[in-house]
Amino acid sequence: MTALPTRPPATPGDSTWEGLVAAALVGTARRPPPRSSLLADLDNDTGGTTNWRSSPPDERGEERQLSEGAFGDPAAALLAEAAVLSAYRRAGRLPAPAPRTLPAPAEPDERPPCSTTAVEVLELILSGEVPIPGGVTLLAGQWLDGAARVGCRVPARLLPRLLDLGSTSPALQAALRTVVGPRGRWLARHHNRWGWAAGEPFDDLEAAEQRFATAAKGERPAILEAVRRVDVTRGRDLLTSTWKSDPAAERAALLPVLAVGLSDDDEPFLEAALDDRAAGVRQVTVDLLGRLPASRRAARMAERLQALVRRGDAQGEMLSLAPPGEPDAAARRDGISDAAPAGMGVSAWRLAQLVAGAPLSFWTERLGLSPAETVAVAATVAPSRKTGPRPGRPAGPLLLGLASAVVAQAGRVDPDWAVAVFAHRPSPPVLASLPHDLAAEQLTRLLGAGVAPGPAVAGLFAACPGPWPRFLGDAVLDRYRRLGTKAVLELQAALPVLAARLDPSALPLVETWVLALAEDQGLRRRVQTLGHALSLRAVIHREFFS
Amino acid sequence: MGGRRWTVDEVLQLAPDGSSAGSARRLSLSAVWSQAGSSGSLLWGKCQGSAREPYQVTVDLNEPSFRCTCPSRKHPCKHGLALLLLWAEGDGSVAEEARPADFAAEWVQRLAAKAPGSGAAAREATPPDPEAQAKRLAQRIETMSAGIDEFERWLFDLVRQGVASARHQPFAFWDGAAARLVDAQMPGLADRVRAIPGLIHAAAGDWAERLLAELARGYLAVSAWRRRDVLPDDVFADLRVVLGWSRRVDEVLDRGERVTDRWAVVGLAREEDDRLQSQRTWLIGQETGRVAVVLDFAAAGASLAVAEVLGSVVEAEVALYPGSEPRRALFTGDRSVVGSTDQLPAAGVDAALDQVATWVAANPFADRFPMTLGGVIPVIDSDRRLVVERRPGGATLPMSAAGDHLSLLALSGGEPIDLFAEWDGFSLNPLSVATEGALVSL
Repeated sequence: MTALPTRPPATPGDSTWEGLVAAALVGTARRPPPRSSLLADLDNDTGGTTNWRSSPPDERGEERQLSEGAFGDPAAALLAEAAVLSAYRRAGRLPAPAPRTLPAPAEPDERPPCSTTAVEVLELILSGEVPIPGGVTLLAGQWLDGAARVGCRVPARLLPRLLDLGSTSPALQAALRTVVGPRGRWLARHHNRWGWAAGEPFDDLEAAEQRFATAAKGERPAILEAVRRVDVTRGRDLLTSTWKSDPAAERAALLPVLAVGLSDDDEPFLEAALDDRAAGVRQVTVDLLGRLPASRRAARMAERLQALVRRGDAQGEMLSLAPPGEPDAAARRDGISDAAPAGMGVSAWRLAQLVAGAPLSFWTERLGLSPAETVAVAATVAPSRKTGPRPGRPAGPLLLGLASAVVAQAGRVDPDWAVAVFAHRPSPPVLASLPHDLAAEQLTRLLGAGVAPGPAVAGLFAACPGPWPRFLGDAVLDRYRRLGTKAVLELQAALPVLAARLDPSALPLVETWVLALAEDQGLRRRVQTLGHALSLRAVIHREFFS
Repeated sequence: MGGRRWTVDEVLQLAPDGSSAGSARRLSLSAVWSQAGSSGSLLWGKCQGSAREPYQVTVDLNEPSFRCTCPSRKHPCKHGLALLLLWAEGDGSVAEEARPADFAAEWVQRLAAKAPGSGAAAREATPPDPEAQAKRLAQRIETMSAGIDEFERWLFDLVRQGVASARHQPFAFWDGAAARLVDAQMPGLADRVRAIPGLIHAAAGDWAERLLAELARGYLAVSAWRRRDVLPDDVFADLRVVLGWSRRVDEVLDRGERVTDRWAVVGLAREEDDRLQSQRTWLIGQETGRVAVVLDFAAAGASLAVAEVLGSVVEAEVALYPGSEPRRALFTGDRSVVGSTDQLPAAGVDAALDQVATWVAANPFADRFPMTLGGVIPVIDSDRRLVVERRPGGATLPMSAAGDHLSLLALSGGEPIDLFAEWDGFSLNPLSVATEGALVSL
């Protein structure tokens, strides 16, 4: 790229003009302005086209006299000269020549344009003029997912706003990288806040692999994840390729990416990582291995548990438990810690970790208990050195451990486990570990049994993945209609979830709900925003998902 | 505006604050009003307030302007707003009448005498006394001449002592000079003086040139004012614009050149400072090829007239203000949108600069020129902001540092585009781009 002259190119009268500027700078009291006959010249040369021409002859005579130095004051002479010359220069300005080389344009975008309706909805969402629970991000995210799925091109004029949105809402960046296309990537290079969008998407595995070793620290997990999503083995190989030389903090940042597509094939690598020097890396390793019930670590945990648990035989007790002893080196290597949560003894905590780490099949295969039976027993059992097992503690270590195991081993064990735990202890993580349809069923059942309003309910809503089937939406809205203004306790947290996950066909029910809130205008307005969101989602759905 | 009944929302937008709006709503019950009526653009009524005598309230819808005999310092006061609301509700409690009530007519006449520009109120009042008018004109010219003399002395002092020191003058220095120009009824010149410190800061290396050019232009106005009797009408009209001696709307409507065309709305510019909002709507006549600009102003915080939609084609008659091309225009009456355009009659950089030269030759005061440039590539990186013609021997023009350059880049993607911009003699201020089948505002 050639540098351009910062000053405009030569324009008529340059030297005289510079003289005038110099005199004006220091002042005519110190430096008289250059004497020139410019005014007279101009009058002679171009008099035929200037306005002065139309003055009567005697007036023109006076003008000429002025230019010939009749100004009593050098300041007047300078200003008169500058007045004519600056207009002269403005009129006579010549453009600079084009630079020899220009920056490369954006790659063409071959995708078809998004429909007019889709664009209008996007603009409406971005404008923020329609109040929506959860803000612009929620609906923009759904719109972007749809556009990315369909593969349409957004109007270029919206690109700056979309890139700004991605800069403030990192959760939208993945979809945005696709939606903004080559023009957006090109544009992102022109603004440092948009750097996240400037790179190519990582669809070229080899290019991504080559960049991995040298990429900036913050970018490496994203590259690894992109590769891992396409090919789990290549992802693991990429991770191991630099593993030995990566510093501890880098290893701890990269290792969680193995959660993407985690399988027993990753187990040997993880088993070895239990011996990592860095505690942070070991922590991540323990977490990942906890999700693999077929791992060697899980088997060791089952053995440790086996030593403590016995099928009960007397007085109708189903289970007898011995408190775990001091962990040995191998147990420590497997991550057993003494950092018990508040309110729990060290011994109970050790037991909870053993239960969480053992495969859930331990209970069915070794003890012959069904998930429901196990949970029922666990709910009544808590170990205590003094009194032995006794019923009555609501969240004893057994149940806590089972809940952790259910969450960690989700997808690899019978969903009956999560159903059983949820029935005794409805918690967001357990609900989230269920397959979508079962989660919706369980939540519906819970709502049907009656739940007091409160933020905890909103937490459960948030854990139940969307889109929600209609029966769940009906149950939720039915409950709110019955709660009336009492719902205010949980709506703050629940409305954004409802806006994101209710089926758009629930709109009439929402409107009925709004009508029922006549006596509380504030609440009514808030619920109305839910209606706005559903209307917009209906359009998004029609445009992209049907 | 007088013909159409306002909506309640429009009325409430005029409220100076929330409590006024609330009070006005409560007062907009016909029970507290007597003698409420309307005629043309005038509304009047008496409102029983806390005083013994009811307040006399008059509203001229054209500005809109308000008058009320209540002691409130808020403007408009709750009574004025309430009267507007009463009328807006349209239930007949503000009756249509042939003649205004005496107190309303009296106010309109006083208003007309004070400010000859106040629209329909002035026109509908009795014709002004020619003798008084001549006297007022003579007074104004005397005030302006005195102001011009003082301004000249100020310019001379600056140039004598050297503008190097002017660079470090505080804002108050320029604001003071501007205030004196306002007192001398030359608000246009005052605006330019007030803009000087910004100019100095924005222009990096060439601030001294920019400052000298601005002072010289001021001196040109001084010299032209002294020769006003011999200036051709167009030049005098241009001078009046620089000085800020505004034209009455009815004068332009009565005497301005009329042009009927299908006007393409090719550029919209909006500016706002702490006192004033302004809006420029650039029009190009599809039949005549004439370029005109409609200016709207409103006080800061008030609502500006709704602009035409960019890219629409409006069939309308305009009245042109006197002066040189490109001229300010005024829609004379009804206008209808008859189509839309995604095209700009784009020219090359050389042709655009030639056109500017012609305009400057006719009006050396002008500092804002419309340009439609075809096939130019915006180039923006850390050290340059340009539009570049992509052709052999193509030319380059700089863009101003302000403005939405990222949108411009987004629309071009590094490829040539057609754009409409304002040129201030030094740099371009892009306003719209023809792209994707529409004109897009920047």
